[in-house]
Amino acid sequence: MITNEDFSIDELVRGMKKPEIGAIVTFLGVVRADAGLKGLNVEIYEEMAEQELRRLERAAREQFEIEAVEIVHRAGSLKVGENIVVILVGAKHRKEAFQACEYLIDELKKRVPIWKKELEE
Amino acid sequence: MKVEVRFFARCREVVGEKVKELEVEEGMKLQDFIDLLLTRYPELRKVRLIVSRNHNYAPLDEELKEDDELAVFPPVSGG
Repeated sequence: MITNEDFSIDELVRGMKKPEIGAIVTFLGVVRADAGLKGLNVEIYEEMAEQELRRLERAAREQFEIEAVEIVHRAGSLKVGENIVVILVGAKHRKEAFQACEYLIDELKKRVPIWKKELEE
Repeated sequence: MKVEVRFFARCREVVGEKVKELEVEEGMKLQDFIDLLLTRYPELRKVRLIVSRNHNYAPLDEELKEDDELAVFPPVSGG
């Protein structure tokens, strides 16, 4: 899901919990204070990004034994320390949850039409 | 026939436009369209280009249709 708003990991975790889920792995991407960086502007081709995110989720579900996926990516200008993206994967066991979560963030960085532009001092 | 072209990130900055309607020949392929773009906007030559069709990555020999939405953008950098 694409949004300008920040998100709450607690809420996302609560929304994901199901009796059959024994492991939830979360990846949180945050704006890092690189030299001279004031923040980031995140631009997103929304219609295509939503579609690519759905495709990514389907691919992860086919490859890994997982129960649930949540992906939220923010757009707009973000300051150092602010949340950029969160990916949660729920599975029966931790191994699949870790593997699927890493797969999702790696593929997101390759395929989803999003661009981050550094905002200098 | 007409198609809609959307420019993103570095490509939008270089071209100076966000959306543009273009008249192209019937049956034009995606590769021909990219060549047309590069002649019309030579400054795009210095950007590594990706062109999607109707929200999908498409092969270069794919044929364009009336009212297609094409998007022109540099390599993605999300996450």
